[in-house]
Amino acid sequence: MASITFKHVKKIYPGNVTVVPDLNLEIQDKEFVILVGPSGCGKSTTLRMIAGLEDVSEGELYIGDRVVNDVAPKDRDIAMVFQNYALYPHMTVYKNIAFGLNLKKMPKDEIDRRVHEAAQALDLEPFLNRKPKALSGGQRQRVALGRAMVRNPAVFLLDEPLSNLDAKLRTAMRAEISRLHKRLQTTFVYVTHDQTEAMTMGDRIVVMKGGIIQQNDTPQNLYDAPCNLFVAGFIGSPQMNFVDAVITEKNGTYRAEFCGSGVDLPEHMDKKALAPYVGKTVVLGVRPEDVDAVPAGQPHHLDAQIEIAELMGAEINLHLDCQGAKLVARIESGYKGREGDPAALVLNTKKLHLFDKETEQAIAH
Amino acid sequence: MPQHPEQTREILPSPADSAVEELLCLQCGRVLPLAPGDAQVLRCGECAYLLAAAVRGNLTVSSYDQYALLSQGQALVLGTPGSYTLQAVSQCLCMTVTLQGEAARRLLQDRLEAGRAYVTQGAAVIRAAVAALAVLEDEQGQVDGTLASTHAYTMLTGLRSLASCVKPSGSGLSPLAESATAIIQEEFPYLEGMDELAQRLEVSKAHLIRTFTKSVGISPGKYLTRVRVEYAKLLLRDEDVSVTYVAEAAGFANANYFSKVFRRETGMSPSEYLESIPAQRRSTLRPMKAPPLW
Repeated sequence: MASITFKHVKKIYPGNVTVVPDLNLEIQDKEFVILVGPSGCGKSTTLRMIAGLEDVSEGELYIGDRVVNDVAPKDRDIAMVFQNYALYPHMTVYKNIAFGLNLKKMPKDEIDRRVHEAAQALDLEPFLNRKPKALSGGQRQRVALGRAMVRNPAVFLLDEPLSNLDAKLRTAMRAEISRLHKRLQTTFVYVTHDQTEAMTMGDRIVVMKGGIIQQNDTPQNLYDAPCNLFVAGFIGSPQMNFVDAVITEKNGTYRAEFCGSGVDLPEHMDKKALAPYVGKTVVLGVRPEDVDAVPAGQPHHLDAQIEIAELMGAEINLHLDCQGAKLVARIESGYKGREGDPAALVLNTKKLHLFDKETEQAIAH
Repeated sequence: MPQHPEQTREILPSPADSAVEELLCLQCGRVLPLAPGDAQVLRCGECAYLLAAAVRGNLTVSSYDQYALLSQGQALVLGTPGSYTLQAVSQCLCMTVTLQGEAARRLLQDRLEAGRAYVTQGAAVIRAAVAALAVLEDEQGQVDGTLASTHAYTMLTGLRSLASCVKPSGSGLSPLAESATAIIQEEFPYLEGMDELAQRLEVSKAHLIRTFTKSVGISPGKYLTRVRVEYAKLLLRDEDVSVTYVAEAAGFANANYFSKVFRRETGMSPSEYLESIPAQRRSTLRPMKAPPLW
């Protein structure tokens, strides 16, 4: 079994610098879990604690049923893939993949079998006699994956493995890694700062900030129901729009007033959660894809002016000024409005999010 | 502040009364002027602490499970029993203090990470203590143990009040040298050479070598070799591995080249080095903190 459990784990650097204050996290066997967050949020530190490359200052770290706080990295039955590949420059691809197995005193034919199996799975067979400098970035990363694979580890740890690759290669390698996970049926823990990578690859995403888990959920739930402003702003590209709004109520209908106008809040929003905020300012969030733009002058719409129109091919990202509030709308490419033109905005009211302005916690979705 | 001594010397205070000794006992202070490449092996006993200060120049401090670069002005606190090799990177004046006692434990232990702690500008504090002891010894003969403990206490509180400890590659180095040492310490088995390192740091190779050498005292290539040799020493202690394996795992192209470099750096062949370690210690020394063999 290769579950991973953090129980009240702390990581404190000398000088009392607490990077991870109190981590409680459970990763199930065979899950593909992504740790995502901005630089310095503690995601790599967390991964390195699993690997044994960083000590656990307090608390307990389990791999399976075993407490591994004091277990050496090589005895944890894990394999790690790094951002900078970590390939031995003087060894061929074959030898790089096989190297770690030599220490295990494995028979040569077994080593050979494993290497060729991994090479075949990763399309590396034509390159087995090459050295790393004769490989592209994507090929090198596949060699690093192959080296991890042949160890048959209980857990794969991947630390921003695609950060050094160009955008096109990153997309291809994402699919490669996802396929590898399905094929190997092993626990994967993957660190990235790229929320697109996180959303497309994981069974579950752990969003971190300041060493603290903000939300631990499926990609869809994170997208549909972010638990606070940070998660709402971090997940989704372009970022969710945020505007201050005042909640009003009349005859049981709740409304959010903002940008000189307002919208009725949908019936499905929890009225018990809304009631305490009547007359108060909250943060209203709406994703760009839930904002539509129509020609100016339409009734019951928000008046805005187009500042920038980013032509993306199939879509246009309109950057708008709406009575002083800055919004982004993602609309179909047929829209004719461009920089300087007025526009009328309509929001998909079924997809609004409200957040407490002080605590930043979600009020209702 | 007394002028600090520059000649090699060892200051051994007399024993204090038992109550003082239990609280804080300064066992020995040393002044070690070292030429580039000179090495000195010191021991840290059970329940003791070894403090090393780079008063002038840069030096490395290594043991079976760690390797650290001390740049001028920095101090290193070591709390794990064992032997430590201090080796000068450039012309260097090093001062060390060994001490033990409950007060030492209380003032130092929480600052240690994996048995050690760096203290920025800590060298000045240690130098002051050693200089004071040297003056006392010159004037009065063997330093009284209780008086030595007083100086030790002042030194420890001074160290503790200094700014928070820094990471191994530490301040005191130029930003480029700091980045370069960080990459070398993490990735030394996988670095092909200075061209690659310069490319990673987005500078020319000439600029990297010039800046690094000026800041650290040796060239980055030499530093890389030193780190590889120290790592190889860790691996050699494992009876299950061959010299070929050690060579390749440390980032050398082959065993022959590794043996040549090892002898040049240590004065011994790999097998002579192994014979120099007591057999009963070999099996208990496991490199917990060595880079992973992925």
